[in-house]
Amino acid sequence: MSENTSVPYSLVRFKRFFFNLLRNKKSAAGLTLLSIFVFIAVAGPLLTPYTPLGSVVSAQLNPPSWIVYFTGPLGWSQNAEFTGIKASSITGATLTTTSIGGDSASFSAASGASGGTVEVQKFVTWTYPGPAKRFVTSLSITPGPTILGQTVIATVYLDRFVGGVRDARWNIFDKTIDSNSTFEVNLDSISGDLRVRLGLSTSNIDPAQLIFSRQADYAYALELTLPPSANIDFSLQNFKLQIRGSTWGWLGTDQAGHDILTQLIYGARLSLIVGLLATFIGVGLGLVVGLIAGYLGRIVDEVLMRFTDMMLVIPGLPLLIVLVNVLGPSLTNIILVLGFLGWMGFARVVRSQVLSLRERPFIEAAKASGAGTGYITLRHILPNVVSLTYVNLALSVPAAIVGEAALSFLGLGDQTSVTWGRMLELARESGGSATNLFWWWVIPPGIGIALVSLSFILIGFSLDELFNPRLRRRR
Amino acid sequence: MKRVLNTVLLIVFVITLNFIIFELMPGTQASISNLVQNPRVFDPTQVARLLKLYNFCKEVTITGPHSYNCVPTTIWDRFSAYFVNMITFNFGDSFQTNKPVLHDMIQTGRLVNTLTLLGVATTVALLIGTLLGVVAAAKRGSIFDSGSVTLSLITFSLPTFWMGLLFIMIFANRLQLFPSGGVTPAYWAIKTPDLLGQFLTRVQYLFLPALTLTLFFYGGNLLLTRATMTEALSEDYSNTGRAKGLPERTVLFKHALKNASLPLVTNAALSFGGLLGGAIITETVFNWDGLGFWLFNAIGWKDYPVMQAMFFIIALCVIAANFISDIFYGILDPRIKYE
Amino acid sequence: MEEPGVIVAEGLKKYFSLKRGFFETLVSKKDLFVKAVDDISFFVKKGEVLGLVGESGSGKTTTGRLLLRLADPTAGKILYRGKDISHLSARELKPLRREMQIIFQDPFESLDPRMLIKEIVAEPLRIQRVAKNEQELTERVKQILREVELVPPEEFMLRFPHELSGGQRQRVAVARAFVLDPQFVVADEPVSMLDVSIRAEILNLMLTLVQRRGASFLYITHDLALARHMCDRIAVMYLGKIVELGETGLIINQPLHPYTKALIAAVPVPDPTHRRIGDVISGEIPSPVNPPPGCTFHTRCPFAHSRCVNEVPPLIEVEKDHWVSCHLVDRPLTS
Repeated sequence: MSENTSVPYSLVRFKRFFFNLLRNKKSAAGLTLLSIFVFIAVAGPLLTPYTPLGSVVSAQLNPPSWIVYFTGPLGWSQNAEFTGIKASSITGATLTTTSIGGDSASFSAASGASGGTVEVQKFVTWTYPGPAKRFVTSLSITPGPTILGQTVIATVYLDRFVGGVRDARWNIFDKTIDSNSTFEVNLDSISGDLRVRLGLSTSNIDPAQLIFSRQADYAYALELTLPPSANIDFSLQNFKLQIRGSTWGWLGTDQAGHDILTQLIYGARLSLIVGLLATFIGVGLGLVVGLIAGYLGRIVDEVLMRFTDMMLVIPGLPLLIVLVNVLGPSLTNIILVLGFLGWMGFARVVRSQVLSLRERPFIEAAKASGAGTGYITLRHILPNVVSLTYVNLALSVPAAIVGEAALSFLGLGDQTSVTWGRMLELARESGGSATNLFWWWVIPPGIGIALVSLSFILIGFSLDELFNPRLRRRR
Repeated sequence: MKRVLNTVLLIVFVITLNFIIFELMPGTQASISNLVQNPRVFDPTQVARLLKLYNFCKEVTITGPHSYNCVPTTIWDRFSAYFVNMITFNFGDSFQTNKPVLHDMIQTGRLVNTLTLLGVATTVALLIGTLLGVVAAAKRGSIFDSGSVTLSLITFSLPTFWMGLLFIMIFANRLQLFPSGGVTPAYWAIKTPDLLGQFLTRVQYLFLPALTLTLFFYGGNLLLTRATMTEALSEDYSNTGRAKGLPERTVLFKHALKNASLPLVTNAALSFGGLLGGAIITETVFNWDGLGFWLFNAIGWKDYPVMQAMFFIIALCVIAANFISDIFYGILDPRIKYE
Repeated sequence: MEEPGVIVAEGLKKYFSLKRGFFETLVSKKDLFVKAVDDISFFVKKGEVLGLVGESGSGKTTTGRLLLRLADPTAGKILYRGKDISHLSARELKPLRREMQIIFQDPFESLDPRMLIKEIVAEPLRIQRVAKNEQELTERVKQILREVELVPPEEFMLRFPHELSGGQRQRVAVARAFVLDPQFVVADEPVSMLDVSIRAEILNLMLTLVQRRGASFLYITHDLALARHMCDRIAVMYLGKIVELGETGLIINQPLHPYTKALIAAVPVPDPTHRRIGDVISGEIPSPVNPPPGCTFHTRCPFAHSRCVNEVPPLIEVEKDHWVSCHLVDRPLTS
């Protein structure tokens, strides 16, 4: 082939074809939609810092933050974090800070004859009109070796200040320390211990709701009460308290507080991969079967088409269910099964096209020049079948995506990955019953599936119009 | 005659496929040995019965709570026994209830429930789809036409189960107009109301699943009707009708629709398999205790007898639908004769 | 034959078996055939233009395809330069294909819509691996395009068939057929799909190309008037058989077979004083599935008698270079 001339020309042809496609309103809309989804799928990790099932971003089952524009801000809150670490001596002790900042502090505390108390604090101003939903704290303390033989009482408080005056204090943790090994304090407001400690064991109220219920200043404080005449070094790491509000981000959170937007973005990736790969397998198989049946004809054709017809009659979803169930619900298996069940219709189309092509004079002409079966199939039949392939590719992808979603929804999805279908399954399952559906969890994956399907359908239909042989002959 | 032969061939093919899937795939034997290892769920007598059913063993003797002795059979033995079991509808006992599969399917009312749902949804979808399709074709290019086409494209691309979930959220949870699932209310077990009350309540329970299934099905119908009608309306017999001064409605329904109904009938039969797939999903979403919901539960239980019975019966229904549509085709189109 | 032809057909037959359902074949053992070509013999001399004339369904296209072995004969022999090619395999035929080519009726269908003109014309060169390199190939393509008057060739080479007019497409088909410098070319109704205004141009072009190469040319047509202008000799076919064969002058001026006479009578002549010879035949050509017994033309022949119904008339040479198959002229003419 003369690369220098025909390749640029085929590029020109592709460009012309592409512009034809864009000129059509339907396919332009489809292409735009699809490119958005492809971008989302490819750029997923850049669009969201979280992982779909790894990062807990806020409290469980939070609606999106923009809900306040519809319901009014009353009763809603968002995440907040304590900042501005500060260490100070309260009574009878001197405190020498070696380093402080961020989440950590190192200092040495020396107490007088009657003992003394030092304090490390972080602050937040709670500005939301609604209460918080949950909080999570972390803290690790490493005392210096001088602690050995003495006891220090560590207490963790949450303080509320109104007008600069402390009006409430909650003791959320205390412990006597007497060794110089590191110990950690990780508290979660949802845990039963904290509830009991704060006297909420019989109510449904989360401690976070009780504590962060007023617009006020709050302090997260660690108090260390030293024995008399002691001089002990302390190193604090990870001194943090996250307040989780009752709304989150663009699309809210799921049952475990995962970001639904992140799941949606990663779901786009998997759904597109499943749809495209399954379709490639199906279309590839269909192409091969159709070409073989159409070109070899006779007994091969008869056998292949009889088999194809039988496969066409077998109901798809039950067979899918049974096969995935038997093979095991991994993403690879789902792709393979969807692909291997999606070739029949296309094989028929290819076969009939090959049959009609085989009788065309240009094939005869090639034969008259001595062309063999291989040459004719590659140079004449295949290029003339390719346009059908494009159409079929576009129209099969939605079927595969919806098929995967349906399987996932029936609990036969890959349990380790988040596709749109699996999001819907989780949304339905976590509610326990159908009366507990959360719109911000149910609607986005469905719209995702619908829009991707729609984009492929639009493109497929306009490709069909472009390639329709009846229309082509008129040119 | 040829049709009958074809249908018989198809049934043999389905049974063979079923056999291959359930017997030769590595999963089945492994899961049977799993069952043996897990007597908490399945007692050894049941495993023995299962092995007998699948004909894995000529003879099974239970040697202990976790073990059995088996005299293995050849694959042909198994296939022939399996074949006979299938065509005599002897599907064995369900793992879930230990009762015959056929009993669980019919006596529990599941079959009737599914048939009710399918029947209502298909009828409504066919009526609405055809009617709207005819109108869209008659008013080609109008706002009505493009609107109904767009709408059916949208319902075509929306996943069925998602539509179901939306309906539950809106009509059941928010508006409290319909129950969110089930076939009949739980209190019927204690006190059943009079017949009219029963009927009204049943309709209330049927509404949402039937709506979902109808929306799943009507779009394709509409598009097909519109396409075939557009073609039929441009044919000479339609023009002749108009030229004779027949009212447009007569031309539409008497002449064009009669000729366009052929592909509709074929399509209805061909899409029957898809409709059953839609029914499985719809029943699952609405906990509608029919065959689809049963199949869904069977998956969770790894209830193989139920699964393969369902697969076989669904395939049988589709084959029957095809056969019937072929015959209908012959009636509708006098040009086609079967030897 | 004192002068053996470049290509000779001897007792050539082509029967197509009717495709029937699987079930039907179980019921009846008898197979049905379409006798597309039924025992014909003729030859094409070197440098000669032979016209093959007949109605549609007479088997003339099949005859053309048989000669090029695009269809396999049911019986009979095809000799090319004295060599029997009727049973050669595709591989054995391949070198011979360099010397035999075909031009089809429909210029819209005979060019692959997805190939550039250059690739279409170059295809025979590629398949036969004639050109040494890409440059020589391009050069040969340009040369033949110039020969078929598609100039400048550079402009046409990079177009697709749908960008050309019908006449231009047929020129491309002609270029493809002649690019290998063949010795024998079959043209199957090459101009019947074209506008009348350009038919003559294309026909003259083909004649020029044939003469330049000293090639033999089989011109298949239903149009006796065109054949008269083009051909050295004419063969008339009816229902798979040759009914009359001879020099153009003899066929046109002294037709002997009633069918030929009828064909000639049907040609409009721009001469008001012209009288019609013989009667115009009526009816349509019978089905070749079940051809009439005896002389296949007897169902439409105004002179048919009992012998015609029962006996197949042989093709006999009634005068030099004039062969007829008719019971009315069953012995050589005495002049």
